[in-house]
Amino acid sequence: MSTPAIEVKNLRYAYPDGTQALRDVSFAIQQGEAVGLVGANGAGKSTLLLHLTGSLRPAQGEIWIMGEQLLPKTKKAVRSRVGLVFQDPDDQLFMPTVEEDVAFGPLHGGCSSEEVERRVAVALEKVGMTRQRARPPYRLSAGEKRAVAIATVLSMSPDALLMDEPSTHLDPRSRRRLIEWLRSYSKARVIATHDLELVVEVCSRVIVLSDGEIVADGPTQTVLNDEPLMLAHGLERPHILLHHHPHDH
Amino acid sequence: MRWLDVGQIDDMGRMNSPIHHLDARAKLIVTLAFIVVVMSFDRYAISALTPFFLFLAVLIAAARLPMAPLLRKLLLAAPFAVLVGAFNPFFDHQPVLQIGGWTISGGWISFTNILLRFVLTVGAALVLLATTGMYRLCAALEQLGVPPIFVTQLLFLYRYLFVISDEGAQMVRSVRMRSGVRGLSFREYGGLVGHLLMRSLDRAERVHQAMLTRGFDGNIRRLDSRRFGLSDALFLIFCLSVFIVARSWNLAEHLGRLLN
Repeated sequence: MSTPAIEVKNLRYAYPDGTQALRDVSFAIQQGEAVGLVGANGAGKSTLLLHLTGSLRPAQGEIWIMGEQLLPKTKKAVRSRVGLVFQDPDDQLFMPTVEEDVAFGPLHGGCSSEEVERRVAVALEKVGMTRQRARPPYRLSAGEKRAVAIATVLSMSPDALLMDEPSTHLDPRSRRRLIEWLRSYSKARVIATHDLELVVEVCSRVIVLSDGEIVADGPTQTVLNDEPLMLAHGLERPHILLHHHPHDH
Repeated sequence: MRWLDVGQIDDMGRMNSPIHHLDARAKLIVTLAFIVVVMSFDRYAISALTPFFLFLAVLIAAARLPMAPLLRKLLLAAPFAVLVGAFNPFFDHQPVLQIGGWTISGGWISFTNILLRFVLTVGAALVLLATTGMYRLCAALEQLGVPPIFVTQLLFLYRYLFVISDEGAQMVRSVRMRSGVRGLSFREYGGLVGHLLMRSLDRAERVHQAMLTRGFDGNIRRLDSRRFGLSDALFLIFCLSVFIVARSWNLAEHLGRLLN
């Protein structure tokens, strides 16, 4: 079996006020796998994603990205292999033009000018934002901002893509486009979301977090069809599954 | 809200004109020289400043900049200039000019001088921004030797203006929807400002995290910038020559004498 894209072992984290945010979290995500990370508000989804990029330091436990442990001295190298798309694109888009924003990651990763140019062109092409290249990000629509935010991460060619609530503020067409794009992406994906319909369409596996603990980890259809489990952790069985038999695939 | 639209001038920086195509360094040096020369005039100088208005007008026309947004931004800053010079007429009563039956005191002349210099200097800075854009301007500062840490600070200060103005606009909208007919008290406004600050700090923290995840290490690296060409050098030499001539001789006065 190949090296997992992401491996988390016994991760624990508490906020400065003492609130336990993650309790003994362990899982492994294989290369190319798409995993939905679901849970009620405050379950620890965003906190977990921030740990995977080294933005938060665990109180205990280990994080491995493509076989390399995430430590203070390896943080920079590991970050270049994991791309996090933030919940709010306005947090992610801080440069004066779309092009500069998409180029930010490769430039800081030490790529040559030619390579940066190539990556920017490819990333913008993939999300359909080539024509917006010279525009300032703050002038874009919510869907366009989301697409550019994804491009800023794609240009870094990460081995694992992390997304925090990717479908928030998107209109149905933009959401559909995002789903199609996520389905076609071949690298590991971790999608933290309340949009369970999106999870059903994109992810083959689901991890359910509740109060910082993993309460379920398994095939999407099986986990999301478990109504008592969903209700017990502040979730609902998604509508898309209500008309399907749990064993239909 | 259009008055406070901070991105409008920056958007003009992406227009297409011969002035926009010039190297940002040339425009920055010319603007700084323009400001220094204008500020070097005597506080009673009025006619000597007129050629500088002509220079600014030619620049605006050549860059095809719309006047209305520039004037709006100029008016927005005008109260500061008025406040600086408004007391001059009360303290300086010395008569310096006679027009018809009216005697004009030095205070009024120096007040007019402050207003003219304000329009010229702030106007020049706005034209620079509107023909260059903040981003290219910051790159030019760095290329001219300003330490990267200051340039980065400036760039992000500018970026956060948008963040804070967006957060502020959302809060104002929300307040208007819920405050009904009764206006807000100063105490409530104080709370709003504090809240805006906290929201902005939270946002800044998240933006910083986003930067770190994309390899930010304290220095902003940029895509390749333009080269300083012959047209940039000619623009620079021409403008500096005009400033030297306009500073050395009162062109308006000479022209007046010539016409008489």
